[in-house]
Order: sequence, then C-alpha cells, then structure tokens
Amino acid sequence: MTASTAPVPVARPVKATTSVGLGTRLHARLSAIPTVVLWALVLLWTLPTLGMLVSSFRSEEAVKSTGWWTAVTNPEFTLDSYRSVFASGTASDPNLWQSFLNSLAIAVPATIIPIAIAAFAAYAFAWMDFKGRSWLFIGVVALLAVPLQMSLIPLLQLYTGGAHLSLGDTSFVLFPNLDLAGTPAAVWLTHIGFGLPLAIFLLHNYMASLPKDIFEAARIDGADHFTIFWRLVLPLSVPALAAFAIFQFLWVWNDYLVALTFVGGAPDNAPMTIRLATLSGGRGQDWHILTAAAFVSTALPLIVFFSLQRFFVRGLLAGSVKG
Amino acid sequence: MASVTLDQVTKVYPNGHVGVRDLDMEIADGEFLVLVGPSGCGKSTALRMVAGLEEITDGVMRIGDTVVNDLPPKDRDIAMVFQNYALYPHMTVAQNIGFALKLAGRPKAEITERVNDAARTLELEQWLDRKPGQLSGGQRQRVAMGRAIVRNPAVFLMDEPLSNLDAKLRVQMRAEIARLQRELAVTTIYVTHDQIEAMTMGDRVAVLRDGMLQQVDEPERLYAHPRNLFVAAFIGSPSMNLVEGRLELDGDAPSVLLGDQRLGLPASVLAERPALKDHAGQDLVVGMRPEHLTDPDPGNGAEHLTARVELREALGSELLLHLRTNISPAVTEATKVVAADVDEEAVAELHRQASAGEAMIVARFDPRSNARVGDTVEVAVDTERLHFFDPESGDAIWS
Repeated sequence: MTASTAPVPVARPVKATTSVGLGTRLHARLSAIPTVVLWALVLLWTLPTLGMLVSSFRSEEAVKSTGWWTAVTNPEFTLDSYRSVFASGTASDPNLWQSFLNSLAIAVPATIIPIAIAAFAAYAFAWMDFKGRSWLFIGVVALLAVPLQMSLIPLLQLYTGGAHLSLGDTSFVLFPNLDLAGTPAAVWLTHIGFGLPLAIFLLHNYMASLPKDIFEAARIDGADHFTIFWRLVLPLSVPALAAFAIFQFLWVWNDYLVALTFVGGAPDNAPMTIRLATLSGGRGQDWHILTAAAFVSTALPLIVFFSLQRFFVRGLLAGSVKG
Repeated sequence: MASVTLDQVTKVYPNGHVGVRDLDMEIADGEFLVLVGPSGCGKSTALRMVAGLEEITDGVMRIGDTVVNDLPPKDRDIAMVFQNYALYPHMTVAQNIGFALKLAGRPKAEITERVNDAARTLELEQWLDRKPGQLSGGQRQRVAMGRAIVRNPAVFLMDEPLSNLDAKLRVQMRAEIARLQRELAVTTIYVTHDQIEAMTMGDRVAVLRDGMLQQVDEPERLYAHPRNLFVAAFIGSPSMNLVEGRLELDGDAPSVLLGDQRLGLPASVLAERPALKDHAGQDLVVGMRPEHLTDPDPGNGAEHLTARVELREALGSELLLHLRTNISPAVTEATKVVAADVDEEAVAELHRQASAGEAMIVARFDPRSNARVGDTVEVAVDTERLHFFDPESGDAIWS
C-alpha cells in the first residue's frame, strides 16, 4: 500500500522585488513537508511489523513477560518458534508446509487463469469492433460492484449441489453437481470469477492507450488480430499484466473468507490463512508462535512483490501519463 | 510497381462529415505525388483510403488493374510510413524492418538478407540490434523507411513522415527520401502540410481543400499558374499578396487600380489572359508574389506602389519587407481558410486589415537595400506576373 501524496503546497514568491530569496527558501521548506509526513507514515506502519519480526525470534518466556523492544537492550534470540511452526502435525492438524503448498495450489491458478482470459477479453474490448461492445464492457466492469460476501452461500450451493431449474414436472440441470466443496478448485474458481472484472478493466485501459498507429502499421505489415495480440499487445502489456498479477496474487494469498467458506471443513486442503487461524484458536496458549507463522506466510508475497514491483507503479500509471 | 487510380472516391464518416468528396486522380507508375492542404482538408483520409485503413464510402480505387476497395491492407501490396513512425517498441531495428517478411512466412536467410540490404541503403547497419527507444528521431525515421522499402511494395504511402523532425534534419531527410524514391522508382503518395516539401519532392502536387481536389499539377505550374485563389494563397512562402483591385481598360492603356494607386499593365497581360477583358471596370482580386515586388527601379519605367515599412526580415540572401499599404486586402472564403490554417490570430489580423483598408504585403528586396522600419518606400511591381482572380468564384482569370 502506498499513501497518496498530498498536493505540494507552493509558496508564491512574495511581491518580486525585495523578497525573491525568502520566497524560494519558504518554498523549499514547505515542499519538504509531504516528504516528512510520508516518512512518518512509513515509520508508523513499519513499526508493528518490526515488532513482529523481533518477537518471532524471541523465546516463549520472553514474549509472554516483556515487550519486544526490550530485545534492543537485552538481545537474546532463538529459532524455537519457527521450529514449532514447522513441527510435523497430525492427520487432523497437518504441518505448515502442507498449508503453504495448499496456498500455492490456490493462488497460482487463481492468478494465471484470470490474466489469460482477461488479456484476450481486454484486447477485444479495446481494439475489435463488434456490436454492443461498449455495453458489454460496461456490464463487465459493473460486476466490480458485486459484493463477494453476498455470493458466498449461493456459490457454495452451486459447488455442492449444482443448479437446477424446475418447470412443472421436468427439471433442467443448469450447472452440474461437481462436488467441489472442500477442494482447492472451489477456492480458485471463486477467485477467478471475482478477479476477472478488475483484470479486464485494468488491462483494457492499458491496451486502449497503446498508440493506434502501431496497430495500423501491423495491419499493413500483414498481421491479423491474433498476431497483433500475440506479438505486439502482450509483450507491450507486460507492466499491466505484472501489476494485476501482484494484486491478484496478494489478494488470493491473504484471503481468509473465501477459503474458510469452501475448504474450512477440510484441513488437508486449507491454505496458510486458515492454518494461522487454527494456530491461535486451537492453541491459544501458544500465541507466541503466531509471529513466526505470520512471517512464513509473508515470505512468498514479499518475494513476488519485490520481483515484480518495478512493473507495479508503471502498470498502475499506465495510460495516465504518456511514456 | 503500379499506378494508383482514384475514381470519384468519396469518404463520408458515420456522423455525416464528408472527409473526401469525389476525388479523381491518376498516379502514374513510379510517380511521386504529393498531397498538400491545410489541416482537415482530407489529405490523410485520402491516403488512408489507399492504404485500406479507412473504408471507401463511394467510388472506385485501383492499384494497378486491381480494384482494391474491399481488399485488406496486407493484400494491397503497399507500404506505409507514419507520422510518428509507429515502430514496434519492443523489437530491435532488424525485427522491426523484417516483421512484414516474417509474417509473410519468408525463410530466415532471405529475411536477414533483405533486412541487411535495406539497412545498407539507409545506413542503419550499425543500429540493427538497437531498440527504437535508443535511436534518435532521424534514425527512427530511417527505420520506418526501412520497414517500407524492405517489402518491395508497388506503392509507398507516406503520412507527414518528416513533421516530427527538427528543421535541419528535415531538409536532409527530404533530399534522402526524394533520392530513394527516384532510385527505387516506386509509385509514391506523400501527404504533407509543409509546402516546401510539396514543391521540392513531388513530380506532381495535388492541393486539397475541404475534401475536394483544387488542382493537381507540376510544382512549377502550380506556383506560376494557380487555378484559383485558394491554391494561390496556399502555395508559396511567404504567400502571395492578395488585394482588391479594379481593372480599367481606357483606350489602349489598360491599368489596375489598387486603392488610390494605379499600376499600368503591359499589353502582354491582356494578350495572355483574353478573359480579362470581360472584367473591365469590375472589382477583382489581384495577386502579387513577394519576389515580383522589388527594389524601386525608376530608370526602366517600371510600375511602382508606395507603402510604409513595418517590419524588416533580413534573411541574408534576401530581405523581406512587410509593408503597410492603403489597399484593401482580399477577404474571401479561400483567404480565410488559409489564414485559419496559420492560427486564429491570423484571421483576426486579416479582418483588421480589411476594416482599415490597409493590407499588409510582403516584398522581397535586395539584402543591400537601405529601407528601414518606418520609411515610406517605392516598390517596383513586375506587372507581367500579376495574378487576377474573380472575387465571386475565386477562379483565376485566364481565358
């Protein structure tokens, strides 16, 4: 998350003749304010994370008796918490590695599949002429307004029983019973559905801002829609694709609600977030190991973010500034 | 190699705006035709219709003997150079140039060879592995040219290819494109806003206004014999001075009255323009090119106008004097359109001059002239080279 920068206050040079120097100095002072505020925010928000990191390396005793800052004067670190987090579990309580893999099994398809679908859709919305294009696009974007929470129960019913329409004596199957409840597929299918509108919206805006001349040059060079999409639009859209990939991956990785609804009853398939909750809920006395577990869970998102972050800002700004 | 024929070609946009109206043109095989005109005159639209990027509403378009109205761009055997080059930013120069060949499924060896040939012609060999973002404007322009010539097309289409370059580079690339076109002898249609490009590059120049063809001719003829006021006002830099005048044919001494100043006309003027007699005693528009308004020359019996110097532009090789006269400027649709193409201020200035009855004219003096701002000077007029236009129709008066 980034805090939005407040507009830089500009000091107008006061009545030119005498005080140009003063005005300039005032301007320099005032324009430093946003930077100071930003640093204060960064510090404020990083501090708890730092505390968590320090706590995760402290012993159970120390965590429960003194604050993490005492580690500054009395440094005494141990890997005990991490050891107990990774300690092998039982069948009903699998260890953290299993949950880590479960999280991956959900987050990877839930990131890649919507990007693949949305890229095609966004290209069509941006550069292909067909009837009802703008209405269809508005319809897709309007889906952003559907609250996820509202559809959890209907979706669960769909996954466990399918959908049927009864007209008189006959019953039509609208959606077959795939018996998805408790499987990772139920979770990533849901995430795909709810990720698509934003993906299409973001990618469309980016692709629509690509210069028209390039497309025309490609048409003259003999390219059809698929060639233009594959050889020009996809490579040129990498920043936008990466930006969305970060968004979607972090959101899915950190999701608790959807996972709880669809695989909450199947610990074998539960992702990290569920596992973390049971760590604190089931063994309240061991809350000190939560800090270590949280850091294990954060590791991958951090890697993903830092490896893609150079695209992140560029992708979000795409289209607003001509680059 | 092929000719391009436009037969009554019309473009009407869905909103009813007419981009091009009944355009008739025949561009010969190997010819370099320049389309020129003010912004929004339809020149780019016409070019894009040849390219197949714009649908043709009505009329027939032929490249060679093939009717291409419904052919997609890739099947028209054309190549196009865009105003902002439209290079593929993620591909190297070599990939950019070879893209069309690759899509056409040519063997790798052939692509490499042809790309290298094109690069050699355009002196791009050392940049082949660079991306467009790492090139200068002139080099990008050359890559765009390379992309066009590598395909060996029947027709080159160029849409203001030099307008993004700075002045010096533009002069250089202008010569280079013209040379390349003569070497390759490929039929070329070149759209420009810059009439110097139009005059220097084209075998013929077509002037468009509001989607309608005004005149298509060799550059010299276009300059010396503009068919109407619009062409006269648009072609030439500085442009032709256009003022109101009255033709008087008293006895055997014809003359033209500009404000209260009278210019005697030699007999040859009437002999070359028989139709002028019909306009005796009538108002008409008189056009004078700056180079036909020169230093006073009292000895040789030249005709003179009197005017006051308002601005002096010494260009080294010549001296342009902006002179305020007591003659009314010609204000017609055509002169307004040409002024509007400069900017709104130019239109306002035209109206100011008209209401004051004080046209500003430009004269080309010898750089050694000692005329100063504020001086009242005598200007010699080459009366044989005057242009006369019907103020109603705007047509030039010849025969």
